[in-house]
Amino acid sequence: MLLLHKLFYRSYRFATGVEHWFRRRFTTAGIAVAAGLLVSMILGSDVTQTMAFQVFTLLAALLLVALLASLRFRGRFEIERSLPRLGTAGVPLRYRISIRNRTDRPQAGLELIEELADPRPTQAEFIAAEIATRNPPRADLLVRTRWLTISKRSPARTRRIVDKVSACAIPPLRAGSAAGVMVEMLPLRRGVLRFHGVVVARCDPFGLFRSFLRVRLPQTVLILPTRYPLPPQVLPGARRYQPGGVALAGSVGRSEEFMSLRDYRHGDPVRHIHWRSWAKTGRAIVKEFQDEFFVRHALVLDTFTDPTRADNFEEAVSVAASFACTVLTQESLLDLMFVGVQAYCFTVGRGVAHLDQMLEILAAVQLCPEAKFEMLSQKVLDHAASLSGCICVLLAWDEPRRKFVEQLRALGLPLRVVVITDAGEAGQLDPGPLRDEPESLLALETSRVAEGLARL
Amino acid sequence: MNAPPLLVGLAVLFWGWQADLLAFAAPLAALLEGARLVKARWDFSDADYGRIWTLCVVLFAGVAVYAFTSNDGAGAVGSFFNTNNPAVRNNAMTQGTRAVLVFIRWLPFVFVPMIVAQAYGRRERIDLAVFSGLVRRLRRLRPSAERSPGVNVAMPFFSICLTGAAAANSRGPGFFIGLSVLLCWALWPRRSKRYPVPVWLGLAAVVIAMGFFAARGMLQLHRVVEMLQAEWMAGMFNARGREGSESVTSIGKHGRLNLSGRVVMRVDPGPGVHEPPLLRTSSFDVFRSPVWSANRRTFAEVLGGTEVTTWTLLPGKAPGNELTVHVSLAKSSDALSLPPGTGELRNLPVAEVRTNRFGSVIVVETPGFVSYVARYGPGATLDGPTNESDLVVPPAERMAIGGIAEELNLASFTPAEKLKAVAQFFARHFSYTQNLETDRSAPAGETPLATFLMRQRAGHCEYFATATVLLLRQAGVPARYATGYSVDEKDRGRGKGYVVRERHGHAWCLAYVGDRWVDFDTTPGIWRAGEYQRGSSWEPVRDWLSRMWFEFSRWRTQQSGIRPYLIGMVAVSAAIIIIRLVQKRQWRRAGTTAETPGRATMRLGEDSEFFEIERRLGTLGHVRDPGETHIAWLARLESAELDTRGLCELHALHSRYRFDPAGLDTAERAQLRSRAAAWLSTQSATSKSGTSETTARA
Repeated sequence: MLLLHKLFYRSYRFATGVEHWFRRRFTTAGIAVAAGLLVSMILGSDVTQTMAFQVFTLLAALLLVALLASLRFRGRFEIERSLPRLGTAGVPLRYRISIRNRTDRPQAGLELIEELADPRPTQAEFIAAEIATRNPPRADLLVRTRWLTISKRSPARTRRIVDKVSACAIPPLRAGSAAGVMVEMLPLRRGVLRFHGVVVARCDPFGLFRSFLRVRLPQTVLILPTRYPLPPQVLPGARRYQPGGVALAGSVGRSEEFMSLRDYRHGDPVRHIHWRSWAKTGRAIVKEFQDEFFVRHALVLDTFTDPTRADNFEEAVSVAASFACTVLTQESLLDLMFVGVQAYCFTVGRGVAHLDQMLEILAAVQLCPEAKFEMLSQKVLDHAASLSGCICVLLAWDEPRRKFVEQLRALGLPLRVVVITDAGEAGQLDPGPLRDEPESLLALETSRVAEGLARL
Repeated sequence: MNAPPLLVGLAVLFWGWQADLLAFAAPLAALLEGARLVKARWDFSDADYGRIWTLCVVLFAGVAVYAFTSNDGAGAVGSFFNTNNPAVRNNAMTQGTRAVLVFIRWLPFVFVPMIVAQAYGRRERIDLAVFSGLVRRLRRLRPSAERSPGVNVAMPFFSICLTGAAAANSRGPGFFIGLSVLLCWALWPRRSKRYPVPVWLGLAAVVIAMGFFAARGMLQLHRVVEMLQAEWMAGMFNARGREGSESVTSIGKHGRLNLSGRVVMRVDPGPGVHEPPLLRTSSFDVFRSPVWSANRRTFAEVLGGTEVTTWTLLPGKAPGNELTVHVSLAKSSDALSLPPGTGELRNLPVAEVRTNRFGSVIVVETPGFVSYVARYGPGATLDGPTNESDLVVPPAERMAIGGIAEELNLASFTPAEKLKAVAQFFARHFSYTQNLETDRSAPAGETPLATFLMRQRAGHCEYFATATVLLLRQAGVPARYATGYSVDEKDRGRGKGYVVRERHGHAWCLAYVGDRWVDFDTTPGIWRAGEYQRGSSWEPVRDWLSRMWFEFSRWRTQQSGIRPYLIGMVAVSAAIIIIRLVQKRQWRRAGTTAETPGRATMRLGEDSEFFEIERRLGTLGHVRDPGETHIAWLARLESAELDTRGLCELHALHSRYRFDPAGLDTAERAQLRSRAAAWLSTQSATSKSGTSETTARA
């Protein structure tokens, strides 16, 4: 069985490799000519029945001359890519590449193609996914290759951040001159987008086949998860005592314990002004109090599901990111809690950290199929004393999760529970422990998340 | 890919020229290229394109059915899979290919609606979901996925035109020249700007020269391969061809005979005929083991009778019996299987009927499926008089044949007694089998027929018939070897008549007794029944398919063809699609946007009276900020101590009118109108009185 899986992996790599080569090397016209060659070969197999053999010979000659003419491509180019630090899934990523002609001859009719890291899974990942989906290895390569590119369960798709990299035309370059090219690509999912290099391509005179010149230029850009528009969120919950305070907090809370004096900042309450210091210094000085009582919310992200439901997990990450962006953290703290290699708690708000950093973390969150949900629930319950409220983004509504919600409710925490379900299952969800306040439970179908969130 | 100007028009003309459809292609080319001159464009929606695509699919199916029925393509495909006979397969393949080529030749016609719709439509590209159910399904599953910009159907249509022109197969230099010109024209806009034009032209010339010489080379290669194949086939060919000038028997082969259960013909005996006779296809006089062949096999043409479908084979004979045969014949020419003593053929719409001295009847230019009536009776037959070759026993067989003849003492009998003695000899000492084992006791050099006669004494009909013919000849009775079919199996599917399968193919002896040729069959009767006639397990399925095809063929030939029905079907579907298209749409000028008031814009509630109120308040200085919602604006006005009573309720109605998918009913719509008018009139009254007060104060 394993041998068959390995064999299939090999054939999968071969088929996708050929397809990748074909799509990059041939232009659209070239692909049309190659397809025409194939059709005319079949139709023209009997030279007495049709004239398709003449089409075949003409197209074959055309491709042969195009291939020969694409040999010998020399040039030296200096390429610089100005990447943004971050991109967002579903939003086109635009950046500039400047290219300098280092030869002493003018260069025209060139194209530029980005070379991204190979998105195909490794053999181990591939076999694990195959076994997880319990797909018997089959010989129908074509069907399986299509499956690997379109099925949402496919391990190849979950790794691919950019689906299509198109060639951009480079303006004519005089000897030694430089030009800029705007490149645009659409990241389909979050993660680290790795660039290996840039290919400068030259077409043959007929515009059918490209010859390549590779320039190594490794770089990465972080693609943040998709965010959905949410109505402004007013989360319930009172301030809670924060034992030990929050290190590095930039603005003050309403504490009774005096900490220090500082210069007046616009917006400080008048009753905090230290009149005597003002009289001494001639500047407005205010009293600063220890920030111990904050409104602190937890954003709990469930990472426990099997890889076949990776799409649901992606939606959960997007929902968490949407909440993170919408909850105002000027006056409160927001803890992102999830389990990866270990249990993590990451706090933003009141100057502790910036929202961007939380999104960066969300861009890198991975599924955690091995561990149990109890690991996360324990972490949240440990923190529960300092929390004012909790937003839980869950991937299922099973017994451990219901128990977790029940425990949080028992602690008196106001809750908002979002459950990501498969299409068509949202209506069938039993509120369980949230029976007396069903509005706190929101079931979102994978294909209709934006719609569901807009109803909030 | 967009097509350069004139390319599609030229391709259509090229197709019309090659496929002899210029009368259709020329107006079409003018129509397509005329779109560049006409500014008016039709605003097709995706649903409209979907309907046009459905029309194309209907046309596709219609043209496919037409091409296959008019060329008997389906029958050919059926017979290809139902036979083991290489000759029949070859014929079926040629016929099937011809049907496919007719279909491809007509293919551009199928996609005309789509290309015309694109040429006169507002969009340059058509969404992929129009063509593919898979894309539509994927979109439903993942609505957020990136959409492709769609396809421009001009280049696909261009390649379909080229394919159609190639399938037309009009030999001559025109095709290559036209093809080269069109390809260069198609590639010209896509050339790399890196190279100067002369380089491109030079390379194009090289490509054309290479293509030309390669095409000539392919033709020559084909000739060589064909020659080699002919030589190879000559060695391998083992056909029981119905029209063949020879019959290659299985004498000398070992192992089980594989005989197909394919239905060859159906026979309906006329009134008074209880047991249909053997149907003879051909007879032969020269035996060179294992081949029977016919010597001096010249054909004579039969003159047609009063009607062109009636052919008198034996003038002056008044046959009393009738037999109707339903059979699919090869289109060019084929041999008929007929009962002995057939004098007249009726209901046979063929161009020519020929007969020869071996009783073979060949028909030329058949319509494919025929149901002919053979009128036959005892007496004269088509077979010519005997000659010396009807008495020849091959030297290799003389020893065995002579031995048996002596053993039976045939020389002393009258011809009738000789026949009886031979029949008794085979009935007593021989058995029937289709599974011959190798006889190891046979000495080297002994012929298979001698082994059959002296040792094994078991074989199939070809052994019996050959041995009988040679024994009779040895005894001085002129005899021939006849092939044809035995009619035994009742047609259970139809409930009447008989069905004749390939495995009912039979061989027997023709003996010249009493100045006429008579059928003389010595094969044990057991072969007609029992295990020898048992078909494969899926034979009922094949029989059912064959029956369907038979009924369809009969219906087609009897009801003057399927064409009017097909054309009618296509016309009706086209009419429905066009009517649905015209009902909704209107012509628009190219470049203008859909600003004209229509139902679509009305539904958005753009005509709501609330906008008039907003304008009025705006003139009074209460302008709504950009991005400010109506509710926030009204709240602001209220805080500015303006009288907004009633406006909130009006706004609720307005919002429903604008955004509620169900909209307002007539009463509510009228309410919105009247209340807005009332508010406007009171407002203008107050502002007027306000103005007059100010004037008075001044």
